[in-house]
Amino acid sequence: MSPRAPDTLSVRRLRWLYLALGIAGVVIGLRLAYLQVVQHSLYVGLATGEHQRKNEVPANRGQIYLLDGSTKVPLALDESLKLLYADPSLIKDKAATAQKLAAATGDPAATYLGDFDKGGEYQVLKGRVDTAMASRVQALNLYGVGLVSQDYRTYPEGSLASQVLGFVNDGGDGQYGIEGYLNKELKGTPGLLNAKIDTNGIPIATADNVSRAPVDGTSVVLTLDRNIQAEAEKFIQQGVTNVNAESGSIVVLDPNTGAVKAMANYPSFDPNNYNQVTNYNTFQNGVVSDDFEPGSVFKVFTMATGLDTGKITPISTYTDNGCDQVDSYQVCNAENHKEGPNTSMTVVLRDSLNTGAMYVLRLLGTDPNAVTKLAKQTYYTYLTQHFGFGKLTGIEQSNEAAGVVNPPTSSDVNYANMTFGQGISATMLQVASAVGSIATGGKLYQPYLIERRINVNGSERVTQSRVTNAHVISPTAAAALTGMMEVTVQHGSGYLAYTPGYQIAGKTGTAQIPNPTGPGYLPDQNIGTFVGFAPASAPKFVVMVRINKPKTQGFAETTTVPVFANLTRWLLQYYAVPPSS
Amino acid sequence: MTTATMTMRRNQNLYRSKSELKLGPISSGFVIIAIVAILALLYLNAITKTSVFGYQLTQLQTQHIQAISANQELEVEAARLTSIEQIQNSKAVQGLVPTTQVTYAK
Repeated sequence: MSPRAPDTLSVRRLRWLYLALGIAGVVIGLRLAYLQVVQHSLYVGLATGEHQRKNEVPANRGQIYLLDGSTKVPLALDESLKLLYADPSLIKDKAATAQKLAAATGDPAATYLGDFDKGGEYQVLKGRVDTAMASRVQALNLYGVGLVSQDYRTYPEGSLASQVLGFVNDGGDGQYGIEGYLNKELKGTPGLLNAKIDTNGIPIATADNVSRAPVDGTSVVLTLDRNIQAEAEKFIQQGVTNVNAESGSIVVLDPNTGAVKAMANYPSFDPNNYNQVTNYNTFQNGVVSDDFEPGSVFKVFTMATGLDTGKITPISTYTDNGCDQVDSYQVCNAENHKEGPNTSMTVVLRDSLNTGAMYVLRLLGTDPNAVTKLAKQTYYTYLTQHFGFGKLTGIEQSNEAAGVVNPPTSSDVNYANMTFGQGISATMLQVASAVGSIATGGKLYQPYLIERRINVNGSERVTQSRVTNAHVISPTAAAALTGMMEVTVQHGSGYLAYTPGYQIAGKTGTAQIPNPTGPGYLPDQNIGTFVGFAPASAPKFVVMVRINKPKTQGFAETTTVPVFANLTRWLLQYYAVPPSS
Repeated sequence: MTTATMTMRRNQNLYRSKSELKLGPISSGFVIIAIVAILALLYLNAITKTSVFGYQLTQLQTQHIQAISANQELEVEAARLTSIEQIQNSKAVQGLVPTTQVTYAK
């Protein structure tokens, strides 16, 4: 056997080497192709991220003001505060750190300890940390604990007009009220900064940088008067507490413009701490969002229809038998009240007689003894086309309710009930606004909350009041109805609002509450309302009070009228209205 | 030689000085490198100045933001101190007595 030639061995080894190098070259080539072609965008992004920063520059949210006389007062502002956070993975002695933080912030140490125990690398410990508290925390120099600047919405007036305002959530979006309704306008347009940065992350001035300045949001001044708002909130709180009710609301309007002067709700909340609210219904502005069966205050509009169509006068009479048959139902007055023959329309309003309201409905048709189709159509037209019920008022508030007015195809008994405010729903704002049209002699103004807008450049746009219907009812009918409502205050269910020397027109309402789980109404529960205006001959304001589910016995005259009276007397002094007699 | 050609040459500058400086290929290379170096230095100087101004701009912007923030804080504090709750709880207002009788001048 001859030995293998060394040349052949070398050649074979070289071939293996070439093969290995070739395979390695192909693998490296493929890997490079993968990294540079397939993963191109990823690595370009990573490289760009190292030396370039793209930031959204937030716009300043527009401020919200209200009026104190003619002076504007801030109601919602932006404030730069600190956010306290921790990286629990870096904290060695959690208990000691929690104790030190608690001493600096005044919060319980257990809260911080609980946050640390959640683990992870980022835990928000506390928001809205002011400068003084931030300094105390910084002085502790705690490892794993940090502070970062953050803009917060601040409401310096606390809970004042909170339901009108709404709040701004952690995402920077307005919720409820004006904040929700005007979110886009208030928020403005964020800017952009796309810049090269140094190793410390500081932008370097280069020609490639892109910078677009943010456009700040528009500021608004509300029509609310701070003093009236504060008094209304005080009186509704007292009113609700006195009768141990569930909740209550007040609205004050200027009937001559439609400007809302106050919208108060109780219970209320502090928008600075909106996350502490457990019942989300508290966020709703009950004056615009909560439609309800208004009860006997609605007789005012039934009388208005009868007077304007010429079917009745304040001294027209009928026979009150206490109850009336409609369809197969007996519809009666409250507490079996029965006036008998020659009962005038003024007495119907004064004593809140349901039979009298149904009598007016029948007169609107072709047969005074029946609820005809024409009667229902006429009444429906007045409610919807003249007074604006069943439609949104367009107030600058989130979640406005339109209310429900059943069409004339509804049953006769439904329409009979509607004449005294049952089987129909409306918001307080709709009722107060419609009563405002009686106060002005037949002009219905659109209610509004924004007195003016202040643009970023300082220019202002003042809201002009808008008449939505110039002929709701005739001035004669309005004057007659005003007189009837004055009698109601002087001698009827609104007697507690009677104020010597002043002409006050008003009407009470005590409405049953529909059973939410079935037919009929809730037993022993009601909604008390009172709506009125003063001075009756030259009205300065319309006030409507509503108290939900009072626990005490009695009608609206003992629940809402005292609240109306207190506020009206205060308003007469505030507007410096001299007595007429 | 024609008359026309003679006319053309009559006003011609016939003196020509000879340059003493002679650049070889290596010297030319050095000169080009020097020019490039000077231009590079000028460019670096301009870039550095721009960067310095950029940092100054950033510092001024930071100061501007801090001033706005301080102004905001003061505005909020002023608003809190003049809020209706503060006014109603102030000693001056607490000492006021409600009006019982108002007389209007006619």
